[in-house]
Amino acid sequence: MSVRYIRENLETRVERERSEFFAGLRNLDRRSFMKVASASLAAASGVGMANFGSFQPINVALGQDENGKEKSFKIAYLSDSHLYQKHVNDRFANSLMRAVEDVNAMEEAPDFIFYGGDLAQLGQPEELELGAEILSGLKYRDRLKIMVGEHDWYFDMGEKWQSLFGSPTWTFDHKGVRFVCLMSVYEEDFWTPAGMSPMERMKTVAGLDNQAQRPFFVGDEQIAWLEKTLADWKDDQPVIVFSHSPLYKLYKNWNFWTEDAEKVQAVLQRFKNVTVIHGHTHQVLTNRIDNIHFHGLLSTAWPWPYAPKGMPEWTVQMNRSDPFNSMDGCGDGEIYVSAEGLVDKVYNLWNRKPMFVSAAYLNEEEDAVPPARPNLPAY
Amino acid sequence: MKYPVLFLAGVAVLLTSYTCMAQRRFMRATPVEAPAKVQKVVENAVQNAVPTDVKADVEKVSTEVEAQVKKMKDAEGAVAQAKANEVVADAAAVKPFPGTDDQWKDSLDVKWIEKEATSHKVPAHFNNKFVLRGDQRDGHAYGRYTEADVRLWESETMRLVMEGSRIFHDADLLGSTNGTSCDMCHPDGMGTHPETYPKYQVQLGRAALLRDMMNWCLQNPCRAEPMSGDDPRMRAMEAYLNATSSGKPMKYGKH
Repeated sequence: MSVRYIRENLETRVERERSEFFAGLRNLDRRSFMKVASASLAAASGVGMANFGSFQPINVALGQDENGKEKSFKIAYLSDSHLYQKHVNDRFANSLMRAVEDVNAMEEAPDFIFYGGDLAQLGQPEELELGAEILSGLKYRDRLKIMVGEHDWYFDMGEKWQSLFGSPTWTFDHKGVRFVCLMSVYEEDFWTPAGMSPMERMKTVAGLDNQAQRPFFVGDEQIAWLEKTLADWKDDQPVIVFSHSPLYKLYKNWNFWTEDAEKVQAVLQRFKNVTVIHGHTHQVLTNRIDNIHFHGLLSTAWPWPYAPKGMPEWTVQMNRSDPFNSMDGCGDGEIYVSAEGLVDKVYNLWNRKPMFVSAAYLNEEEDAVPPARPNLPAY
Repeated sequence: MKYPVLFLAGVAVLLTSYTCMAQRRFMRATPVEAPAKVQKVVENAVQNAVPTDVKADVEKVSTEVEAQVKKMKDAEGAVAQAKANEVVADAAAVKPFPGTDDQWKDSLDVKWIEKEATSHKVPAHFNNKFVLRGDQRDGHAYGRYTEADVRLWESETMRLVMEGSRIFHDADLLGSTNGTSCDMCHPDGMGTHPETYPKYQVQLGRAALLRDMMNWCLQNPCRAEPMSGDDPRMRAMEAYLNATSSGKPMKYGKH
């Protein structure tokens, strides 16, 4: 018996059906629209997938100062697109474009847009250029702040990335919050002794479970720079740090790990309100070490499973991803910075309800609402 | 009276003809040579007939020709020498016993298992040394295991597992058309949970084996051709995934 399979793969079919559905809606008058909509909603909720739109805005109580004036602000984020060259893979390019559309569709413009690293999959100049091209479709592209990831770096050691986006470390102040971006994906030289070509080095680093590489580190030089950057900042002034790898030690085998994380934490320790936002882990990930809050970012390309050990107890795990539901477990999201400079984090999981992790939950405040647990645990 | 005469006449005829033939043969074997005196006279006559300047030219040309010939001969000699050297080199490369020739090592990656094992870890193989303990094996033809046996079981199993790991992490070997390989969603085989198969796979609408899900992944995220159940790559990857789920209790049908 010969094996037959459908040439039109699932994600293409879903996309087509979705666009046909919306095209059909446009041709209806209001009365028949209500009919169709209620019927489809009923049908959809019957099978538990009432999600037509990819982006669902969420109302977050924004902090106000004593004059009733809004002081808090919003950051939109996209991360970990892992783009291949155009002719190799359209899948990841499509999902980054979807994320760009999400950000463009936001009713309230974000104060800035943050990209969390790993724009390219194999650090190829063409991949990075494609990423820059797609990101230039952002309505507020002049507000884009971009961080480097290990997939962007290890083909030419960041040459192309830096020529496109500038320095991998930067800092600025915005509405009373100091933002610092660290380059946390340095690795000790393992490629020279092994006689690896740039592509072999890149592929070794690109393999999450590849043990031939070394753990990530920030480096003493950069830690000194961080200390200097924060020297004039008072303890009660808020700080938000961006880093690609989590600035703590979660699971070494997958480099969910920063070798000198304790040194960075020691620098941040004195601040009352300090948050670290990191990419790399492709999942809903929450942690608190003393007063430092940590939040992960969703990937637009694929979700990682949770680490088999070392999981922080603060994390409410996201639903396990359905492989048959294209782009499940992927997404983008928002970072709401409150008046005190604390971060409420929204994980906009495509095809699912968004997850909301508040600073109040991490600070164990009495009336804090913990993140909603999904119906299925992660495997 | 008549017969003896005829006999003698016949003998005479035979003798004569024989002598004639012998003479002719002799003449053919030794060519006629001019007497030395005559030769000398002819030579002198020729030499005197050629003018001296022409003679010098002839000498000059002949020396040039000689030099040219010498040069050519030298060149030929060099080529011949080089060829001879080559032959010697070939002779040195050819080993007397083909079985001891290790030329194949240059084209084959003999250390691929070690390399794969440094890149990708799998749980340790079960330690079967317990079969070597005790005396229960005495008297049993199939029970006389040695340490070599135990080592062989492990090395052969690990070869299959590491081959699976190699394919699992390589988009090209999977036949992926978009660069996607299994490890991109399943580092260390995580999230494949082979210990839960067979199970009713809702999305496939039937009871599925692990390989059915693997083929789904090949066709969709990887956009590759599905593999037949006995494809060596499929067998190796099943071995790898089973190895990575080592220690987890079998719970077939679990969702």
